[in-house]
Amino acid sequence: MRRRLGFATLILLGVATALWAQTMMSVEVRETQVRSNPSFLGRVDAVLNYGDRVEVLEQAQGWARVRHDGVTGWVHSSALTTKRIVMQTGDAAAQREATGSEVALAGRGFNQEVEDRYRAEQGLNYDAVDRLEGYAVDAARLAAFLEEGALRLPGGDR
Amino acid sequence: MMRNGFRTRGFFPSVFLILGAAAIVVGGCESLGSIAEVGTGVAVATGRMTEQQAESVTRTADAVSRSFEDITPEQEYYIGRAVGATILDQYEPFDEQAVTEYLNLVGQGLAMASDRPELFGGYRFMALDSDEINAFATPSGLVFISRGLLRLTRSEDDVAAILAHEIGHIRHRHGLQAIRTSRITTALTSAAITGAQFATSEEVAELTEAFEGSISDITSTLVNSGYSRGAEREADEAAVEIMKRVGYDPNGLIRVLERMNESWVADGPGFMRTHPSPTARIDVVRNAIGTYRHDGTGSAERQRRYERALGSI
Repeated sequence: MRRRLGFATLILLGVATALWAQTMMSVEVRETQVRSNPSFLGRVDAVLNYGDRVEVLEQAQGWARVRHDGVTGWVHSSALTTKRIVMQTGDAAAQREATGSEVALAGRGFNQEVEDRYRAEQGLNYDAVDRLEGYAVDAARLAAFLEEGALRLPGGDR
Repeated sequence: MMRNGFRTRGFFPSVFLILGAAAIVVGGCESLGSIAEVGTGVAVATGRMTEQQAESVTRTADAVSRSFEDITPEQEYYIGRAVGATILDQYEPFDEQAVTEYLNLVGQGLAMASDRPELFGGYRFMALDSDEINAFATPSGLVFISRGLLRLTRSEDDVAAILAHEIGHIRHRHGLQAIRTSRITTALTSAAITGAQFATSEEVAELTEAFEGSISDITSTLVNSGYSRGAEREADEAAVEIMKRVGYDPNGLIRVLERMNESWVADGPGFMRTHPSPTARIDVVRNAIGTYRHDGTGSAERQRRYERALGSI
């Protein structure tokens, strides 16, 4: 009986460890969408921003089902990292922590300040890059374009 | 018997759970850089090292573990913008609304079907006003294709093949791999990023220098030396896979390569300087296509809109 209790304790300990290790991930792109199903054609239920933390409930075929602020849905895994992203802050503790590999500081290293300096020194055609980045494809237009061309996107209706 | 059975069943899960817990603890352990930091912290506290010595030890240890894989998508974005600004300084953009819209519709569909659809700032596609036969991709997701290369296409599937190949380079981060390790080390271990305090102007100057060097490493690879054969193979294989997923005929890539082969001169300009010979690539692509057969659905509508957008390119 005592041994049984020992095993039970170990199992409980294991379960507790597993719960403690529930997967949290961060959004590592400027903006991404939480969708109703794992497909870029799925309905958008919420928008996530750089650095947002999400709880990962399951992963399948390149997509992660996540929970954030009470909304549950699918985000493409390529938008997520296991690192915690610390937005620029004067908090010295957070910045010291960023020397480890588990945390990334947003807005540091090659950033807007470095670009401004480089741009001022080199000139180059940044204006054309800005114009191109401002060019957005409308989601409904893209869906129609794919359908008319008998094309499809991977992903499902689950 | 029952007790034995219980023990047997009970024992193994417990072992796995303990191992699992141990793995989590070990997995959460520090990188080499942080271990060095703890060690130097002790040395400083016991008076065996000055703060300055400690910092240099920390930086060296950090440097060991830095590579292109440590560049975040945010930094990749700034690198890619600068590469794009350099390319658009050397080549005139061909900014015609119908062409840009068409390239972006085809390109976005392909990017969404790739293994890396999400980039910090997203994918964008644009034609270059040049007769040269060439295409470029920046690490941040800007894809450029020359009018000369577009003129070698005969269908939307041919255009898709070229764009999918460029998306393959982005997905495999080939551009970042062209950056010399020493620059990445400077960029990722400078005090401006490890951040004990906000960057001083000298630190920003040091970073800007590393940035300038990184951009030059990438653009000279893109424009002059080209990626390795292995990288081109990866991009071609990714292109075939993406096209199969979306429903384009991957033979479009072979058709484009055959036409490129007709204008091939060893050491010629554009793609001839930066890519393996088209015949060598055709073998790779045939292998990647394997037994896949495209059923031809949607071809008529795709042909109609291809001619409308690019008929007079």
